[in-house]
Amino acid sequence: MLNAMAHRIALNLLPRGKDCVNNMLRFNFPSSTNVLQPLQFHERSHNYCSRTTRTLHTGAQLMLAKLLSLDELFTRRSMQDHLKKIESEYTECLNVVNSSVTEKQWSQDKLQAKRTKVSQMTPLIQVIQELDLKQKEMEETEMLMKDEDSALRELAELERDRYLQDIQDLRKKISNLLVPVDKVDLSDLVVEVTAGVGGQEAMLFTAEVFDMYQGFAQHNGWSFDILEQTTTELGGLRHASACISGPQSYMRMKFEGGVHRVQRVPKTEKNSRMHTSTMTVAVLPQPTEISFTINPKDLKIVTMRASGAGGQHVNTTDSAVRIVHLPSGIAVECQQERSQLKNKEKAMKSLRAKLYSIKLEEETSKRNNQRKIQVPEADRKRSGLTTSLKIG
Amino acid sequence: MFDSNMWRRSLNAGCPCVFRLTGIWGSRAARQCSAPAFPASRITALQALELWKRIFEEKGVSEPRHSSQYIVAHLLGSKTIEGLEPGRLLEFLTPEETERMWKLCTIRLSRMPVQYVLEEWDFRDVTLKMKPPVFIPRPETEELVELVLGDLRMKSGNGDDPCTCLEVGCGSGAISLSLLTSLPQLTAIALDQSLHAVDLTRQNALQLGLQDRLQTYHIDVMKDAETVLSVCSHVSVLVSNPPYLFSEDLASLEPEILRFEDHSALDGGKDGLEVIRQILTLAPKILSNHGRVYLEVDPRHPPLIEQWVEANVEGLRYVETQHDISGRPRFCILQTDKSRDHKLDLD
Repeated sequence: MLNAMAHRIALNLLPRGKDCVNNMLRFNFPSSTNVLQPLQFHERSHNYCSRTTRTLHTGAQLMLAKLLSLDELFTRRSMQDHLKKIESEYTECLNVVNSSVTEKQWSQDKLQAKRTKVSQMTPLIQVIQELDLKQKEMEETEMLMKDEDSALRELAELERDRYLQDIQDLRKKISNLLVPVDKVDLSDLVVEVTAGVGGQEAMLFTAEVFDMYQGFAQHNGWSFDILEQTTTELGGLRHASACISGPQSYMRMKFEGGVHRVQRVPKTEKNSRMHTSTMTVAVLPQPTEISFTINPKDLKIVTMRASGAGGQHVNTTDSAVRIVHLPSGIAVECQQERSQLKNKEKAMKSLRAKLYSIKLEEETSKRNNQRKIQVPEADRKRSGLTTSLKIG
Repeated sequence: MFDSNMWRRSLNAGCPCVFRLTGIWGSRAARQCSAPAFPASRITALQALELWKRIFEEKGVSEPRHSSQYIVAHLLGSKTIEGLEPGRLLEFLTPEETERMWKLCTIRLSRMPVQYVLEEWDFRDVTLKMKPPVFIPRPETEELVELVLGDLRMKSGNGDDPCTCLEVGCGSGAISLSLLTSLPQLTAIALDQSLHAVDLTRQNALQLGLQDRLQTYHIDVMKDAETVLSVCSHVSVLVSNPPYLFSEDLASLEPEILRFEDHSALDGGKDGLEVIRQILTLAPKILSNHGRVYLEVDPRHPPLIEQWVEANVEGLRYVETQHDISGRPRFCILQTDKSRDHKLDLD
């Protein structure tokens, strides 16, 4: 997630700063696998998971190329300048808002705009100021490290390490806040889970993760509409997808995409051996009707009513719908509902999300080609497994 | 006598099978009494599902897997098997659940449609009570409602007054109630020649809280044209899924339909057009100007209807034919056009 953030900052600041392009980005394609960025393992809190009692360690996406680390990014002159520019913009807005109380120079609209800007920028400014403070404090501590007293030196070292950690955290926060909102962030999404390597255990893991997302959605007050769910007899989930809708839903779910792996002793294991299994999550933004239309002529829709005369002649309860998008060959199926029409609507939702995702990827790679930058695809698509993972 | 040990053994072996009742009931009874006796020990939902699926298959019941699945799902509080939590099927059924499962599945053995067995079914966004012999809504009719909705939404977008729609042959009330649910400004009138249908439509309207916007009448459009005209005024939409089967086709219907659904909801006469012709004859008198008729028909009907209307109905013109999801011509849309009464003038 860390690298994805840095990467996005880079791409988003590109159009603005001419100097940014050449200074900020530096891509090394590793000649050997040793230069891989360290993976970030984040623990999944089990507050959202009603049934599991074990903590899960899941793997984040793997970046195959080396991007600037957080340190490198923040030592760049261009970054420092950018932060200073933000601070001065903030101060200017603040002055306008405060002085207008006495001077009344500005129109209501302009004033409102400045006020909004101030409130939007405040979180970022606060973190920047905190960062400055911490850096000053760290410098003072570093002075103490040269002291004659060894005890004092040791203490100072510990202090310094703590400051370094704080500074890293603040930098991460700033990185997050600097990234402007992508229009895609405002959309709803379709989340797809698929069991990967590991047989039954992987399918149980998939069910747990899907359940967790349902709880997470509920916790955030989002709707969670299951489009498709293929369960196995032993209580697992082969694959499933759901449409999540609500404020900031895509923004908060989008980094869930990728391969997740779990290492634990499975319920079915008799000899208490540790197993590793994986599952994949794909998060697809859900486009609005206007922004993305599918030509009905491109679709082949198949139902159980297809043969014979249909209508009053037949009474079937099989209401499954299968839709094939002929140009791309993508097929979706749904039998979640008793109503054939509802199954068709859910299948269409699924299809739209998939096609939109492909379209977005095409647009992104076109954009990147134009900038003559190679971007690894692990960002959006499901990434590969780590080299350290033993499979099978 | 039935041997409960036999039952337990076969369940443990993981292969449920059908039992024949022998002994005092004799072998003749065995062919007639096909339901297995109640299991002696507990079984899981999945085992019950698989067992009954096999029984349905053996007995030639149509859609054996779906029948079993829908009954189990309904039992466990879900509409479909896919909607159950993973692992739910592995849990043991309580004695009450097992008894209910057996009861419902035994009824299904008689070829009663699943919708009647469960006493409910879904239609677009609503769940309706189902009761024999009232006609069970078909998926194609969901598309008919979509067509009507599309047009009505455009109309209300133009700021026109709220509409009234008339449904001829309402059955369970599916079309009217579905339209009322989707369009809060709409009011509806529903007719049926069957008292069972009128009662069921009223029940469903009450269940959905739509009774204030729906008037239902027990009227036969074939015999009581005058009454129809008297209850309708300012109707801008006439929608119907009238009986449209050819009389000769009735014999080849599945037992589910033949034995349990009202034949008068299916039989459209020799050419399947008897009721349709009557509806179209009355349409110009019922509808306001530029009001529309939406019909679900047999795939062979559209060109015949177009010809017939052209030759026989003043003030009604054929607009278009729409196809169903399987690509069959299925829906006829017509519009009243009261300025076309020129046949009277030319001489």
